[in-house]
Amino acid sequence: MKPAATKNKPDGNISAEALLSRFQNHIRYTRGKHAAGATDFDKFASLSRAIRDLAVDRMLATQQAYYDRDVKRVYYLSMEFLMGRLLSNNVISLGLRSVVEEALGKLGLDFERLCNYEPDAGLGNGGLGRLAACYLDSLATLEYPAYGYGIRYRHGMFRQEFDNGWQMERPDDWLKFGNPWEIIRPEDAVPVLVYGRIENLPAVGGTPRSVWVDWQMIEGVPYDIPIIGCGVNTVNILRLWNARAAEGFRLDVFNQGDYVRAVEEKNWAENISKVLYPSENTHAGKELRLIQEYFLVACSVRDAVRRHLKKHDSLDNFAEKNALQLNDTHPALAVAELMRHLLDEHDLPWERAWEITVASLGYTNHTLLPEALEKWPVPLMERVLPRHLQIIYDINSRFLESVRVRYPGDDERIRRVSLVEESEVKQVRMANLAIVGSHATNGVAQLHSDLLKANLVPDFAQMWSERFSNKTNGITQRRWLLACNPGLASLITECIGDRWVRDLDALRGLEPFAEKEEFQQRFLAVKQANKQRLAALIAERHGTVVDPQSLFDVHVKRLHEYKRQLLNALHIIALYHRIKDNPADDFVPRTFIFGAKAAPGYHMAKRIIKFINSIGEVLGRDPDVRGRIRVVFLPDYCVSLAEVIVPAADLSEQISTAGKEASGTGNMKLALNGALTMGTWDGANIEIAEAVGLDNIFIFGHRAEQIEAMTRDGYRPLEWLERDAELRRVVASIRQGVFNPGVPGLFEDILRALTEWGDTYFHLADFRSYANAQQRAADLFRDRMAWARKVVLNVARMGKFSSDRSIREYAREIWNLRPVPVKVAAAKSTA
Amino acid sequence: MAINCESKNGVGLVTVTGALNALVVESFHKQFGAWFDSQPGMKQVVVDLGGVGFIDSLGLGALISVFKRVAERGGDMRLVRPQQAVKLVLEITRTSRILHTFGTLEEAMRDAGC
Repeated sequence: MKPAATKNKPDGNISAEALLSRFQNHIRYTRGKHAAGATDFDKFASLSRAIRDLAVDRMLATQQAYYDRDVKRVYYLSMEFLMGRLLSNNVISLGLRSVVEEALGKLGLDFERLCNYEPDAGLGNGGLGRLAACYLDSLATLEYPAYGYGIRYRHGMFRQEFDNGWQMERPDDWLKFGNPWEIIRPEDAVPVLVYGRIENLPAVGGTPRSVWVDWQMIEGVPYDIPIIGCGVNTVNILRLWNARAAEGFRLDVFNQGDYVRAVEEKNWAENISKVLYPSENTHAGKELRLIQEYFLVACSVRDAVRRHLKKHDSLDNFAEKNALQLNDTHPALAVAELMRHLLDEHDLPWERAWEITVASLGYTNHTLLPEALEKWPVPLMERVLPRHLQIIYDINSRFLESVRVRYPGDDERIRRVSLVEESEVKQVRMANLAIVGSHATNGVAQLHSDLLKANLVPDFAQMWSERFSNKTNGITQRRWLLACNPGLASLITECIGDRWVRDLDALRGLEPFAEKEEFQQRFLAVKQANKQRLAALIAERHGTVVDPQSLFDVHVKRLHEYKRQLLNALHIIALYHRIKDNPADDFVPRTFIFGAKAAPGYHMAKRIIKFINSIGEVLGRDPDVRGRIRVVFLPDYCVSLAEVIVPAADLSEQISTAGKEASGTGNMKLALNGALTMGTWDGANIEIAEAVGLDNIFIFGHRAEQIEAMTRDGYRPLEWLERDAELRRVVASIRQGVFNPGVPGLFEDILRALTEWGDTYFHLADFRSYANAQQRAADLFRDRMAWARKVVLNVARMGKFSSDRSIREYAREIWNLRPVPVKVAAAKSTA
Repeated sequence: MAINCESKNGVGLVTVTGALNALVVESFHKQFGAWFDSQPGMKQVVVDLGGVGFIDSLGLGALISVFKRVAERGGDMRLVRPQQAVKLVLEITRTSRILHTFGTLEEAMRDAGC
């Protein structure tokens, strides 16, 4: 089904004939093929180029407007941008869906089929990277002057395969056939210096001076991807940096005649943008990761400064014209780098440089896990970034002095807030650096922001309460409803118009329809079609036939113990036992659908994947279970797979241990697409519950403060096991090897984690509450109209969770940024 | 890389052309050192970088060693006309804060007392 058209149209639409002509030109002149010899990929790439051409006209006009009007810009620095595919979204944003279909139709081509040839730009691990992508979409659609800065990883998130149920990692080769969206700008390459030392030189005129010597130079080459606002003329830029060896890189080694080593060294420079680090939440001590982070920061800050100096004579007003937002702690070196620019390259006095830096920077924290707050060993930083370490020491010295004045004699506080941890090997605390160097620090859901202030960095929150705020995450409805769920989008637009595309609060207009049986029927029919589509994909990729009439219970997100895929697995086993005990009973048929990647070095997470796959195998073989439970773990979960799973979900598993998930955005995507949430009191689940009403969500489990109290008072998982016979049986069946026949002890670590190792993530404490909530969900699912009513109310009340709302809050409260509407006119030279 | 060293009214003028990098620093040191040793009273040196399109850390090290030798005599060194790529390196490394940099040869020579 076609997605709903939007009334807002950018200027200068194109006819189907003209688009067809451009498409054919690209087949011939960009791909170098006769029409008859063009492959499907050639056709996808040529269509993308034709669409890109249209975007470029608007991009030039947008950049010119920003330059002419000397507007304030925001730069969004993120180590991850999980963009997914672009063609379908870009066509929708330009309002050209029907034009494209008409043009391709003349050649007998199918648009959706061509879209499937686009590889995912998987330049991120999960929520944080996808959030960055959603924010770019909202920034452009809301006409904010914005740039995304990231790294053009040659290999993005690894491709996941299963071998006998075990995760195997394969390199992602998304650039193998090129990327039709990007525009390379070698002329704008910027130098980045790393390594070396600071040498003191003889004093001239009485002032001792020092210089940075023995460094190595690498270069960042920008690749620009147009970010097309939906229904407006604004086209912003995502600038991804590609590392290459600078001219003369390690010429000293070449000069020594060691050609092979010299080439290796040259390749090392290029390795900086070679691979995305899989999320293990900690990369401590990994030199290449530190250099990657600095590479992003150095290229981006220099680019922002360059753009500013095109219009201004100095950096004195830099903060009035530029906001730099740090997407998590990874780009925290921006504090030291901007200071270095202001001090070393522009000769500003320290106090003024510091004012400008703090006023320019904002920091978004994304995690409450203390181990995920980056720290870098001082000796490593001294070796890689000697000048930056000096600056960090200077910042710290001044900062601690101010703390001493405010809290005289409080040495313990000084120790806690210092930018340098006095451990055996001193560590630079990057989160502290980001907080001290930013005028605004925010969490990403209300609970997360509260816990950030109360538990993670209470000293800073006490000192600077005015700097801390909450900005609950959001998702773009353009991708996560309009594009991925065209059936539902059309139904909604038919009923309430298309205002929701740019104003998600308009979905409120659906509430009266929740009571109408005809609408409920149509809603369920759309869901059913989406489930059939997913069932076909499961059959194709997994070789498993699932029943589209069954309850699709979906658990898709990164694999981490705190996200508790294991709790879901324990419940599946409990259901299995119930079926075995009473095979004649009437059970609600369920399909449990998992999608998750585990960090390659995270052994417990990989074992949980194997465990779930093993459960799926055992249950799949058991005739008593047939037609009642299917467990499907789809390999290689990514954005494009999510776009098929999310519209098909009935139940959305958001069951993290309370207090662990910062926000979550999968919870929003699934609810917006008509799934009911099975969730804990965690992250944005709480706000979703507030928005949709407790009658329309399945909330269970201990709250964060209860978890905290149990932790404090001594949590004893065996006591929870002792008092729950069903849970005991679940654990016993794992111990007996029911799910690992022939491989004794395979899941011993999982059992130990749940019991003798203390059940860190409170699976056993929450099991009964979870099982009861699951029973309520199953009971409700039997009443299709009652289910549909609640689902429609969920969709109608999801307006708050648009990334448009998040971005407006950032713009108003942190960036002081205003929209800049763009007229498309003949573009002149641009910034 | 080519280097030309000459004296102009008691100010040393060193003109460098080509890349100043690891491949040529040895030659740079030799040629400059021999000439500087032959000018025992020389205290002010101007290095013209107008013809240098690229500099690496060893090239910069060569300039700093010139500065140190001049400073040992109680003198000073100036740089003139660095191209954008070289200027950027001088700024990032803070060399431009130590070695005074001028836009024209005339300005540099005048500042050196020529």
